Amino acid sequence: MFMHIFKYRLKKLLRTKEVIFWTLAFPILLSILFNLAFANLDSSEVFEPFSAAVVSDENYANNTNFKTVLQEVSTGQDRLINLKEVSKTEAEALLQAGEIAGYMKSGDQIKLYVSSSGLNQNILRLFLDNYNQTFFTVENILKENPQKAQSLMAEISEIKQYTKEATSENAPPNQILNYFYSLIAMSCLYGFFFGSDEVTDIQANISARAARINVAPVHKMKAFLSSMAASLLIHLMCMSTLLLFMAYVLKIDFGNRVGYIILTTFMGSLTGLTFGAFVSALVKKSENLKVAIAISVTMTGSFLAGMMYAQMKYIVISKAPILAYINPVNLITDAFYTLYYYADLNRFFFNIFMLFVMSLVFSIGTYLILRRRRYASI
Amino acid sequence: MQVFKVSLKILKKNLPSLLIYLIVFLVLSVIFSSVAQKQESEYTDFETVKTSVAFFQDESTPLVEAFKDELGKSAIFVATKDDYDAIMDALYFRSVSYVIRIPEGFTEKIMKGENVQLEKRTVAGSISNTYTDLAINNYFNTARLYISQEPNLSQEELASKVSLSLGHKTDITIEKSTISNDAFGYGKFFFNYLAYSLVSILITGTSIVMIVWKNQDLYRRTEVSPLKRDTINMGKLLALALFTVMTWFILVVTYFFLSGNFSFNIQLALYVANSFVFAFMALWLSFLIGTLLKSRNAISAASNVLSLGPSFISGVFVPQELLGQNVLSIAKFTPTYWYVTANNMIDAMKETNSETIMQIFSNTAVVFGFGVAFLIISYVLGRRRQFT
Repeated sequence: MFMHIFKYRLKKLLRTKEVIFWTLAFPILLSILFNLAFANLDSSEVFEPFSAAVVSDENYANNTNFKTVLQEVSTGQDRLINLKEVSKTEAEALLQAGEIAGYMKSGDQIKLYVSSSGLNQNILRLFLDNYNQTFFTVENILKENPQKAQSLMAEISEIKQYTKEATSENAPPNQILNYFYSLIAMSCLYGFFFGSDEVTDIQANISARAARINVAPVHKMKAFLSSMAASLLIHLMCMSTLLLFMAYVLKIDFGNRVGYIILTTFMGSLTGLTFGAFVSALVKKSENLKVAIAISVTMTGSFLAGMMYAQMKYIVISKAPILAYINPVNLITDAFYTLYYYADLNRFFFNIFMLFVMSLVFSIGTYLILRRRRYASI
Repeated sequence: MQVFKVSLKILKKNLPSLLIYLIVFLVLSVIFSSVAQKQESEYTDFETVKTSVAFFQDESTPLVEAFKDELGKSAIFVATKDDYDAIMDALYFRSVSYVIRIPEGFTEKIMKGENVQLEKRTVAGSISNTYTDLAINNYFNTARLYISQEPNLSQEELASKVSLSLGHKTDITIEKSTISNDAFGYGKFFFNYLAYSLVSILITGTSIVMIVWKNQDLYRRTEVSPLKRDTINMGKLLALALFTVMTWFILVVTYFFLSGNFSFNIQLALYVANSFVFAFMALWLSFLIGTLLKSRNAISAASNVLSLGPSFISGVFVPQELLGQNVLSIAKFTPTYWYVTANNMIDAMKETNSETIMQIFSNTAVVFGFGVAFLIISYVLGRRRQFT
């Protein structure tokens, strides 16, 4: 009997195209949009040498020190700037046209002319500060110890690096991935629609199909579980397609712990399904209200998990951690995130555990509401 | 009139679901605009271009304290829990872009002129990495110069000498300031976000009404009535327009309460006018969808795709400057792009001259054009459907 109901439920589900759209086509569509929208986000923070000009007047020609230093920072692989040597009027024109971040002019001191105040202009300022300050330092030292001129020159020419990158077992902090993880989490929760339909189709006073099933001599629990299994299977298939699409077509990095990725997806689907079943059992008749709850819970959840704005997830977890632990979308997102970013798995298992608890609560709730209903007359 | 009344009744009956949407979107808009505004303001003013740094120190010596003060001029110290996960999370979500730790014994090594390096964690290759590195290296290279010449300096003497040197700033001339007076920055984000909430709420509300009229019995009943089809459609549209105006009004009024600014101001007036036009565009779009689609599920599908999709590629969630050129050229086919562009122009507006206002209006006009096109299409298609 289990197989019989399972099979027919499967057939029924495959014919409801909207549900397939929600769990498959919609996320895929969104992931393509994400891919378009966020393609430039990470590269916008990458440092690239920027253009700057120096006014090549008499002062500049005489200032060999400055020339050498500029030479150093504007050549080679890890250079700071692409240098242009131009006249004052040209420099002004370039600045107005926005082709250079700023221009420098030597004199008693090196001066900087900019038109706005971005990070590049600030880098230029720090560089010039450094140059002017070194000069000041040298003067300062020579004032007290004039005999040190020789050794000082040797020290200046040697510029040391005082920082080094710490070794890390984490993957690179690629912020964009979080958008995709929360998208998967959202589609997991779209299992809501499946769960909700299952409950509608088991309560004889709500749908005709349920009435038909209820007259059959099958235990209600058995009928419900077998059709839920069919829903879970379809939803998991949709989710796998989505994951494969992201991994192989959009080339999203999920790390390489495939087993755990499957576990997360499974738990996510289960949470979505049981959540839908629970709400549907609770709200009963109003279809509009069910959909409203589904959409608002998943949208709020996705928003708080960083789907529209990645930093949101961090803000929630640092300002209101409880909100992060009870938000299923965030738990699923965080599970994917930890799988990608961390080597350690404790936090991952905590997320999975929370999802498990949620599914359990929803299942028990649904069970308590649905059990022992008899329909003497409808 | 009957059609109008019934449509309103349907809306009233579904008030709970509509209110849920409205409240959810209101709360989201408020959170989104306040957070997004804070994010952007960190990058505007010349004096305050600072990178966010998490600073940990295992020793507290006069030199380290002096160094921290000096670094504070080009960095904002973000308090972060000293815990591996917390630090890595903060780095991933860019709450900090640079993490540095002063180990024990660091001062001693510096004072001896030994070669020593601080461990940092950064977003590899980022601008803030380069910037903060420059600041740190500046400090210790200067310190090194002093120590190499006067090895017997005490920490305090060294610190004061270094800060004297570093106090020596480059003259900067700002030739043309592009910093806008940003007293109103909140508005751009709130009204941009409206593009998402309005479309979402309106499509849902409209569909609830339109679906009821598609019930076969009801449809046949209205068909045999002596009312003209156009009159029937007009009734529906009027009821929905009332709904649109109310939704729009609630959203806009919320903004007034949030900003606490009730005085008239040209920028504000433009935002409001722009969003009003957008609201009607959204209504006509919803009407078109309601005319074309039959099932409730299909409509909520369309609602989500049409609200989220254009918002993502038009710069509602991600600022337009960060979107690729080809993405933006696709976005130009959606009204949301023109609406957002107009909002951005209003935000950047420095003085009120007719030229800028004309530019803003021309964007709004495109939004209106889209709306009228939707209305005409729904009229034409609606007719055709009825004849076949």
